[in-house]
Amino acid sequence: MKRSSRFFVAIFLLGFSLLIVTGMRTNSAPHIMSFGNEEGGATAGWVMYPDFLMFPRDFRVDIRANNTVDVYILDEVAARQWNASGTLDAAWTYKDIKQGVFNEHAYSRGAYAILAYLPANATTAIKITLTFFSVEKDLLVASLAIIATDSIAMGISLLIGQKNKNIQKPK
Amino acid sequence: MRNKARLFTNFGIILLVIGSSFLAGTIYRSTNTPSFSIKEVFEFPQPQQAILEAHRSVLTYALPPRDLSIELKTNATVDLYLLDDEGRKLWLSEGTLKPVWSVKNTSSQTFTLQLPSRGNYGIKAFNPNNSTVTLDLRGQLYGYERDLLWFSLATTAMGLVITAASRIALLDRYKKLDIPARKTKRGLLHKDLPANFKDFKVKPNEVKHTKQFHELIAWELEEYMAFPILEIIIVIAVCTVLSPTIIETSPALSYSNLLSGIQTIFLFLIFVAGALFCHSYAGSISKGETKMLLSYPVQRGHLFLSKFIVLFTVLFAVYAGVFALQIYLLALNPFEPLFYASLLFVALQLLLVCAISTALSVITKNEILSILVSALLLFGLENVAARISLVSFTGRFTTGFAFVSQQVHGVLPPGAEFSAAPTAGDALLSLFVSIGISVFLFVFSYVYYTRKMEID
Repeated sequence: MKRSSRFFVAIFLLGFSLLIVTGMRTNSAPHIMSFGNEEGGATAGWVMYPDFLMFPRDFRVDIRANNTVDVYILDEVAARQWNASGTLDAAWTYKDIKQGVFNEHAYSRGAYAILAYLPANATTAIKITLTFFSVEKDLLVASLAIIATDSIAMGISLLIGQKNKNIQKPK
Repeated sequence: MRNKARLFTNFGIILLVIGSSFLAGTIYRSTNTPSFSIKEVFEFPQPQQAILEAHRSVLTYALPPRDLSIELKTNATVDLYLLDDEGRKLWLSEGTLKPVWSVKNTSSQTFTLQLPSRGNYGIKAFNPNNSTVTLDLRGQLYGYERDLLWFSLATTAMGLVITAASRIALLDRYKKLDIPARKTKRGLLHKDLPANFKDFKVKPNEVKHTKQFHELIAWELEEYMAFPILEIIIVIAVCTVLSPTIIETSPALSYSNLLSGIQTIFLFLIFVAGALFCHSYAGSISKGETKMLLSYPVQRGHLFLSKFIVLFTVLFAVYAGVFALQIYLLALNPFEPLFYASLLFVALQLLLVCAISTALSVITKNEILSILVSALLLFGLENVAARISLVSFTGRFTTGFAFVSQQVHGVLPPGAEFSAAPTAGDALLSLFVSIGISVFLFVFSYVYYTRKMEID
């Protein structure tokens, strides 16, 4: 096999393996995460729950409380900003919510945190559930891009090779 | 036409390899029988305090399409429902019950059912009685994951068909044109050797060791990393390193995910490295390649070293490259010490596998025998020894990883099964056991290959 063809095949297989892994990771990445004060957490005022890793997948936010609350999902930079100066720049905002289910899509991979505002003059029970589904979009795009680019490059090199062969063939 | 047939043969082989890998993975995964259990007390009437687990809550599990055994123990009769993802959403949004499986008025019993597809399933139980019911439910998965099994069988079958058809077409063409079929094995004919050896000249007063060594390395790369060996290594590395379960979602402890699935990574690495080294050393001896190479003015030491360096370097480079993707996938700090510690431990375990396979190959001089013995020895040790035992690759890796994690981050990684942090002695032992055995076997193999081994 020619070296150039081999190179293209190797890159194609790399992209194909990444595609397979993207599919396999739908089961190996976490599906559900829950946050709340069921086990003795704060029941009033601003509450920031422990940060967590989120991958660029679709997810559903399920907020249930026995009072009207505000819920914010912050990315890593916004969480640091909030902790440092109290500035709020949330990636997703849900205001005046008692119960609600929202479908969202995370665009970047990294650390996120959930910030909630529970009414200051009451004891509020809250539970926020994040349910993740679908594939990791960045891996999917990367693998498809590798496969597509490689296929196009391989096609072009085959065409060029064929053209050169035709030119060299005596008529 | 010949080129097209060869292309189809190669494509068929790739499909065959992918299908076989998936089949092996499916069989291996079937040995894992995860279970879950639910213990609940149903009170009737329901308590009045605010409960956040509303009456529409459903206990949800991500389940693959395998056989599921549900063992139910209650002190009265209940209704039990299994909802798929669609059924769960319907129940949560509208309160409509559309189960994939249900049983009514049942008490203590064991049920067996087949999950139709991969996804999230919810288990819902109703207490129709006017009394308190205690429910103890245990579910266990067993059997093969049907989607993976069908995919692997289909891919393998397609690969077989395409390979066979293209080979038949190729052979037919050879018969029609009366062309001798190309030898699939490299024979003893010196014309099979690469061109650079024809230019090799011995200068009586100056032997160019370095040039000879470089040429040997180039030849080894071309010979033993020929299509589709390197491609198979890449596919296996990507599929084993990037697919393990994410066990830790806290960003501060994300490095612990490097420990997840390490046993699977080592099992495949043992297989790949062992087969490759045995094929290179024992295979070239049994095919007569070594004898032919040594009939040229090639030093035995150079031949031995070139094989070892090329194969080890390529294997480590592929695995390290794939491992490096974990920095992005796990959102790790690029300077995370545990990432580099993991790479070091993987390199040491790989070195050990290579040294063991090399030693077995030069002693047995038989490719099949050396592959079988090294696979049985290394697989056996890996499966029989405990996950934290220093006898197994996984145990040495886990010990070293846990020690470094304790020193750098002050905590043991969640995936490690240690009740207390491993001591410095254990960590050093895991390090030096690998290095010591590798060095001993390497030196032994080198001395034996260069001074004692007879090549018939």
